[in-house]
Amino acid sequence: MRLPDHALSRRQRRTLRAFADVVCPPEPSLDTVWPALLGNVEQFLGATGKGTRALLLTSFAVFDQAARLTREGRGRRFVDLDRRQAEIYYRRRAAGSRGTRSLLTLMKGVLTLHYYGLPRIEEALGYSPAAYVRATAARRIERYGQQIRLGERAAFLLDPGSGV
Amino acid sequence: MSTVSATVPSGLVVADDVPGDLSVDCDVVVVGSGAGGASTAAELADGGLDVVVVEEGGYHPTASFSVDVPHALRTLYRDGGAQTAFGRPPVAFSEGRCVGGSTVVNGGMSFRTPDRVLQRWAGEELRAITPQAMEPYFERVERRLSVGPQDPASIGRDSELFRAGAERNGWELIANTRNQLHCCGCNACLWGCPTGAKRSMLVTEVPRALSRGARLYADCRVERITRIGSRATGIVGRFGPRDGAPGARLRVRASVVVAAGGAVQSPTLLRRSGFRSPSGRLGRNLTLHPNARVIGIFDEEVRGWHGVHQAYQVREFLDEGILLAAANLPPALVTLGLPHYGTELAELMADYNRMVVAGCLVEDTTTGRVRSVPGVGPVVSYQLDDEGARRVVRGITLTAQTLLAAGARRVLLPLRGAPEVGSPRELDALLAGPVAKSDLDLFSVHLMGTARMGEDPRRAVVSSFGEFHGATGLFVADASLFPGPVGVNPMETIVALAIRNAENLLGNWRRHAR
Ligand SMILES: Cc1cc2nc3c(=O)[nH]c(=O)nc-3n(C[C@H](O)[C@H](O)[C@H](O)COP(=O)(O)OP(=O)(O)OC[C@H]3O[C@@H](n4cnc5c(N)ncnc54)[C@H](O)[C@@H]3O)c2cc1C
Repeated sequence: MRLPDHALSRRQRRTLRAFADVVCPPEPSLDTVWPALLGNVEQFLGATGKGTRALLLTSFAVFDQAARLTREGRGRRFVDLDRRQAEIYYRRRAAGSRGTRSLLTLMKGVLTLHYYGLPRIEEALGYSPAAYVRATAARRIERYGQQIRLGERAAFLLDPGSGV
Repeated sequence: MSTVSATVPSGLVVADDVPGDLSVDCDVVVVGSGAGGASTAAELADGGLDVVVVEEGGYHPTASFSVDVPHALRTLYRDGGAQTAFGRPPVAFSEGRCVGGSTVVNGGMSFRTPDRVLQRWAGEELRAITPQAMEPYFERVERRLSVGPQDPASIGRDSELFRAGAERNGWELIANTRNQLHCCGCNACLWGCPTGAKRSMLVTEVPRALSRGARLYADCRVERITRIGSRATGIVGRFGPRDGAPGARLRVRASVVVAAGGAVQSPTLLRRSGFRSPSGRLGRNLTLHPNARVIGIFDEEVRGWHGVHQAYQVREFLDEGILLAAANLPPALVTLGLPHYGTELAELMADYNRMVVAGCLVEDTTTGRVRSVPGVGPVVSYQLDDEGARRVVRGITLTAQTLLAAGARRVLLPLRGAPEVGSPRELDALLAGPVAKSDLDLFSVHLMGTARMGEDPRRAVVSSFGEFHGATGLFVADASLFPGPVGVNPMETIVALAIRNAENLLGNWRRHAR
């Protein structure tokens, strides 16, 4: 059974993209990974609890609108700021009150978690677990295959270890 | 890669197999297939009872596991792994939600309840749960789950550096015992063990229960426990939605209901089903072993993902309620909680293969609460007290000292706004002043104690055998039972208590059978 994705509105996607442009690393260009990143975020939002989802989406919406009231925004939403202004707006909020900082860390975490969970980004860091798992798992069977089979079978015995 | 077949075992029903509403009868229905639920089910089925297990999460066999972190968070964890206990500071926490429960995603550390904890519990009206009385149950758990030391070749460089740091400081350190069968150290424990080496409930007690005739309904959330007055009579559940339509209903009639949904879900389920504890303590007494993470960056290449998830624990400070360990995390999770972003984050993460991720776990000195809010579900609150905060800060300091002694060039602390430190002197200077609780970045994976056991119904929710005070035919068999924190990883305690209590239920079956 697969949990349904939480499809974001166009407006929400735009806010997330503008936010990702600030918090995710500039290289490789976000354009190349955005569809995969957004897909993962939408699936994640589909899997989170109602409360967490509402908190996150409201926080992004407020972050976007609140820019209007700031020196950097001067009446403009966050999504309408240029890259430099957007970065300054984010930095100032991140240095703000504890509550704002906590929320921003959470919002940023959702994007960076899914960014650094992309295989392409992992590989660029020299992290390639799939090949490593395959190799160690094969070695395990080669070295201990017989003992593993006995051990796995023992899990089904009435009292493993007693042979009953 | 496992030698065990990956097909759906007989007796296991998943949502896609269910054509319409179902109604079944049995002796015992168990809610949840995690550490407590699966062990209870296997024990009762072994004893000849007709057992039905109902599990909210899906069935994900060993062959389906890969180190795809976002995918694993969505499919194996409740709420994508993103749950929060509200307080200052908030504590992020995670629970498993799949066949096998949190044991499928846990780190596989397996320890007996420390004697000092059992002795403390014995002093709190749990006289029957002594180290001697529990010994045979621990032995059984350890045999069933293949608990033992790691093969040396499976231990990675991050663990060895951490060990070296602790030894340089002259601190007592133990080699972890883990529930594993020749674990090869592929470091994927938290995403579902892709080899089956970790002996989670998915590959031990669940198949054992099924092989004894138990039935398991996966993808089905128990909405409430049915009752006549204070007697539990079964459950009503609903399978997950299918093609956008609400899923089928499952009704199970049983002589006995066992709630084993974990320390957050069980008290909520009991409450929304209308069960009240005369003690007023259902959902209270939550402990969660607050954890804080410290990252050390070394000059050498560490590749923390080569080797077992966690090989050693520093036990020097256990009497102070503090435990230290190194446990690698994939890049995606390393970024959580860090203040870095953009170019700065990229520069930091470029050093991923030089990182050792370590942390401290502290024994709680306060308790929190789980409430059930209609339309929202469980709401968890936990307010760290001054002593708890002091322990966390001390734990962070000790962890950082270990990493620096091991040769870390830079250390990142889980304190909002704190700069990196590069030497013990910088560390001392930074932590010389007071640290605001709300600046601590905490998480938890050990939730316990919300239906505490004890013989006195005025003080405890269930008896020492897990029977709900003030109800009949109703038991609890999960981490909720603990009267207080265990101070070490809790799974072995949960399984040992589940086996003990199931054995008692079997011995008294005539009293419960209807
Ligand atoms: C990431 C992580 C790492 C950990 N590492 C370790 C470790 O190394 N060593 C250790 O000892 N412990 C570890 N733990 C903790 C340990 O796994 C848990 O304490 C233990 O599994 C809890 O057992 P339980 O029976 O209480 O609940 P769980 O094992 O969580 O099982 C509860 C099950 O009940 C199901 N459920 C809940 N409500 C319902 C409902 N209404 N209807 C149907 N089903 C329901 C859930 O989906 C879940 O599958 C870790 C936990 C996590 C999350």
